[in-house]
Amino acid sequence: MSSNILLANEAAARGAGRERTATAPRWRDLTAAEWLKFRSLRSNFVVLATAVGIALLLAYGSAKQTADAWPGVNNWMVGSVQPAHDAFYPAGFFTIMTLVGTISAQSVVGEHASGLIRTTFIAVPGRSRVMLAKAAVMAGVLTVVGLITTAGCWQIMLAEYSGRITGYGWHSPGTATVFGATVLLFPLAGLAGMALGALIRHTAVSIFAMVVYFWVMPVGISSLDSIANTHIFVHVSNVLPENGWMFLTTMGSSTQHIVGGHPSAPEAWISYAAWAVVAVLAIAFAPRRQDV
Amino acid sequence: MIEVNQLTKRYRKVLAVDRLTFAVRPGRVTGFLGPNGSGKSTTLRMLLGLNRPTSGSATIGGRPFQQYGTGLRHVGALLDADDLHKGRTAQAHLAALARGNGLPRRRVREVLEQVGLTDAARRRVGGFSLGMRQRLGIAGALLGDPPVLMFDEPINGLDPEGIRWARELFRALAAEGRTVLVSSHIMSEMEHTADHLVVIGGGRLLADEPLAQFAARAAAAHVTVRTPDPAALARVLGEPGTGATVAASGEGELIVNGLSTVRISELAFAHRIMVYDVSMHGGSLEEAFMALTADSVQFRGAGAGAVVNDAAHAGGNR
Repeated sequence: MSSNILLANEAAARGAGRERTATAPRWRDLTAAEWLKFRSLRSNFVVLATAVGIALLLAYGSAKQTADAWPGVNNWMVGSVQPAHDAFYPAGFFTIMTLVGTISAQSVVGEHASGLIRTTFIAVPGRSRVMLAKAAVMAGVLTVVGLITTAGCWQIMLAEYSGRITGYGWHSPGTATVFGATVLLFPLAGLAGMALGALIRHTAVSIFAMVVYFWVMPVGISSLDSIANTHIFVHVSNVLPENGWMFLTTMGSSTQHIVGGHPSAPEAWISYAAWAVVAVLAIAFAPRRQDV
Repeated sequence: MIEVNQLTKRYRKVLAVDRLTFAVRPGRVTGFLGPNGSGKSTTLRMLLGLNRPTSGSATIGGRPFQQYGTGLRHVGALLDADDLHKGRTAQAHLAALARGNGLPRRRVREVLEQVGLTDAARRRVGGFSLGMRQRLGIAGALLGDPPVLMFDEPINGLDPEGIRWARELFRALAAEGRTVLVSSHIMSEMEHTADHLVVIGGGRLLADEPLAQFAARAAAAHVTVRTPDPAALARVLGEPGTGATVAASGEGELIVNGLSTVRISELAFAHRIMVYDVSMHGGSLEEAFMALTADSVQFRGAGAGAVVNDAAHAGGNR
C-alpha cells in the first residue's frame, strides 16, 4: 500500500513545491458540479416525477368534471369556463408548487443538515458563486419540469374537452400568456424555496414556510384586511406570484368580471420578476457571513 | 504554510478559541492536540473560512482561505467524515467536488484507488462504515493534489491496518514537502505520526514544539515494587544515600521515584529482601499530555469507581 501511495503522489510531489496562483472557479464547472450533485440523488427525480404525475391527474379530474357537467350548464355560464384552471386546478397546482419549493429548499437545507455544505465550501470558498450555480441548475431543471407539466396538463384538458367544449386549443388567444406564466412559476417557486431555505437553514421550519407561502398566503392573507379593517393586505396579496399567476391564467372576458382588488397583467409580470430577483439575491448573499 | 495569529472565537458566552498564535511549516507532520472541546475544530473551521473569527487572523500560504477560488487545489481538508450526503455514491460525491474545481475525472479514480475504496466506488455512502467514510474524506482532501492538508481526527473509526495506512500516508505527504496538520485528542495517535506538536487546551496554546522536546516533559517516571516485606524494603531504598523517594501504595507495593529498576533489584538482593515484581511506569507522552492539559479539560467524567458502582446498581435492578 505504501509504495502505491508514493507512486500515486510522485506527480504531486513535483507540484507541491510550486507556487500556485489563486484562480476563480469557472462558472460552467460550478454548474456542472451542481448538476452532478442534483442528478446523483434519486429522490430528486422521484419527487419531481410524483409532482408531475399529480399535476396530470388533477388536470384529468378537473377537466373531466367540467366536461361531464357541460350539457347542463346554463348559457350565461358558458363564457366563464376556465380551461387553464381545469388544466392547472389552482388549489392542486399550489400543492405542486409547495412540492417544488420544498425540494428546492431541501437542496440548500439538506446540505446544511448533513454538513455537506462544509465540504462544498472547502472545495469552493466563494459561497455566492456556488449558491448561484446551484440556483441556476435548479431553475433550469424546474423550467424543463414546468414545460413538461404545462404541456401535458394542457393536452389532457383539451382531450377531455374535445367534442363538448369547443373553441380552445394550442393556439387560442391568451394561450401564450397562460403557458409563460405557468412554466415560469416552476423555477420561480424553486428560487423562492431555495431563498427561504438559505435564510432558514432548518428542514421542518422551511417546509412549514413553503406551506404558508404557497397555500396560506395566496388564499388567506387578503382576509386579514377584514379582520384588521384595513386595505393593506389586499396589496400584499396582489404582489404574490401565486395571485399573479391566477390572473395571468384567467382566459377570455372573465377577467372583467373579477370583483375586488386584483393585479393587472403588467403588475403580475413585475411581481414575477421582483420575486425572482429578491430570491436570487437572498440565495447568493444569505450564506456569505454565516458560520457553517 | 499555515499561520494563525491572535485568533479568537467567541460564541455568545463561550470563548472557544483564545488569542491562539502558531505556525505550521511544510515538510513535516504537525500534530494538533487538545482534549475534547479545546477549540481544535473551531480553529480548523476558521482557517478554512467556514467560521468567522471574532478577532485575529488565520492564513494559508499567506492569504485567507476565502481568497482561493478553487479550494481543493490549494488546501485539502477532512473536517468530519459525515460531511456528505448519504444518498450519493462515493464516486458521485467526489466527482461533483472534482468538477467544481475543474479537476479531471481521472483524479476521482486515482484518489479512490489511493484510499482503497475502488471496489466501493459505486456504493451509496450511507452504507459505509465510519472507517470507510474517513477514507472517503481523505480521498476528497487529496483530490486537488494540494500543497496544504488538514485532517480533523482522521484516525477515528479506522481499523489497525487503516491506522497504519493513514500514518504512512501523512508521513509520505509531508515527505513530499507538503504542509500536513493532523488533529487528535489522543496523544498516542500522534506519537508515531507527528514530528511537531501544537497542543491547545481551553482555546489557548499550551505547547508548540518538536515531538522530541515534548517527550522530555515525559521524564517523570516511577517504579513500582511488589514485595512481601514493604517496610524493610522502604527502609533500604529510602536511605539518605540513594536519593530516592519511596511511598507505600496498597498492600505490599511501593512506588519509588529516582531509582532505576536495576538499582532497586541490586539493593533488594544485597539486603536479602524478596521482591516479586519491579516495573517501570509512566514516562509516556500520553501522561505528559494529560498533565499538560489537566487544567483545561472541560468534560471530565466521573471517577472509575463511580462507573463501577453505577454498573453494579444497574445490574441489581434487573
